[in-house]
Amino acid sequence: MQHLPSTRAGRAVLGAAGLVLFIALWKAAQSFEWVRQGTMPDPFLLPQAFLDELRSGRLLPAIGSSLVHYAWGLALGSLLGFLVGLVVATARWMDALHGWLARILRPIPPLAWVVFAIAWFKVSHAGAAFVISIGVFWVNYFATYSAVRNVDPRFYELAQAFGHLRYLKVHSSVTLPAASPGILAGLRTGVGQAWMTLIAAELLGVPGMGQEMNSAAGVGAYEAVVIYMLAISAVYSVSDWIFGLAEDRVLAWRPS
Amino acid sequence: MAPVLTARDITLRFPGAPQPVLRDFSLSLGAGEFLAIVGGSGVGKSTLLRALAGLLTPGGGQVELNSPRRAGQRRRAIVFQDGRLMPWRTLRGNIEYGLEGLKVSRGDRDARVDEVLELTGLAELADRYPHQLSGGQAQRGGIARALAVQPDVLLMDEPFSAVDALTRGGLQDELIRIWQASGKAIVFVTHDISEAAFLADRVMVLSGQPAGVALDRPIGVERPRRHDDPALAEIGAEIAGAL
Repeated sequence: MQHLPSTRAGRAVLGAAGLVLFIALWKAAQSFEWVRQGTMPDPFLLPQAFLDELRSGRLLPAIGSSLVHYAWGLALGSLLGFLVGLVVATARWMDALHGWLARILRPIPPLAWVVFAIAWFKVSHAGAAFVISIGVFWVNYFATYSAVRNVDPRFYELAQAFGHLRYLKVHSSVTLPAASPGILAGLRTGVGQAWMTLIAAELLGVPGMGQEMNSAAGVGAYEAVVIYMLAISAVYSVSDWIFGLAEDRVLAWRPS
Repeated sequence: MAPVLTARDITLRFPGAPQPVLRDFSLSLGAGEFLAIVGGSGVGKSTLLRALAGLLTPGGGQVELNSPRRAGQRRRAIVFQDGRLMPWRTLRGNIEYGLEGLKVSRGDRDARVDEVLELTGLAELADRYPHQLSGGQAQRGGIARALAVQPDVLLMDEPFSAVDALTRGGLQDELIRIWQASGKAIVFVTHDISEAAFLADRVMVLSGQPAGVALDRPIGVERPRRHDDPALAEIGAEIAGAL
């Protein structure tokens, strides 16, 4: 048992055992009614619920709709967060100019903006993307800002020593590559953060997985809710995996 | 020898310190001359080298380059103590970095990088990233990067202090070979007395508070030199006395 977790097969066995154990506990909770009757989904009914959602034509359009919000919100928030973080970290007067503003706005949770998202964009794709982009913005803003601020100053001396004095050249040859591990870590966090905000935004009524979950819960179809939760997990895992591949390519220079 | 670099009455201060760390330092460096500047820690020798490199403005005095400007060339280049290769560029990319600000065609650039890679014995390692190089190889990469800009003066800041003793001896021999092959003038800052005596044509010793030149003498030992030459040991004792 001691050497089991160190082999690949051993880890797979333990991982599967953990899953089975969890499902058994879950089934017990449902059978013995540890929570109010009818509110605990039956794990054994999940495959059927999955097929029902798929056949009803709700699951795939919901995923598609969520992906639209996700892609726009993520792209917008990442790009703006990165750009603002980069500019304020490299230009001292910009840093001073935005300092108080950032301190005031930062603590406001993205979901608090839902009020304005609805007022400005009605219940629309743009509104959901807007709310998502706010959360993603702050993640990327802080990651970029601190990564850029932590660039080893000796590389700036090196740039100066070899005659690279222009803003664009200095920051494209030193700041961006030196800060890229931190910037990419921020982007990757944003990929996850966007999902968290996405579902919450959709629970407020924009079409997507969040809305489908809400309506399923309204009629007590808790198995369907679990299907959407698992779909979220699956889509996140795929996007994180793709991001990981891209990151490995960009950061090939790092010692492994 | 016509000087390639002159410094007049250089005074250096550390920020916030009431007294200067170095006062009235003057220097005339001949073309192709190998000068070693020796001093203890805190005497301002790294700061002096940065002033000579134009990386900081001294509190007083002037640094002048006397050789004519030529296209595609920088008149001085620095080799840092830590090698300082950018980890995100290959060795070749690091050497190219100094050429990116100069008007050099793509073909010329490749040829010059190949040339200094050959000269420093790194040709096989051109496509490696810095983390795949040893300390000595990284240091030679720093030298290659400086040579690629074809400077008249090479400024070296304790370049061998971070490598082990065995590697250091090899790098010293190699530096002499590169210096003789390239004909550059070198200012070599070090705290290592025997290193200074072995390498240089002339040694300047910085000492005191504020520091000044306590000794300025030619070495006058024929090359090739041997590390265990008693004449060098004698000069070393004289340097130690001046420190």
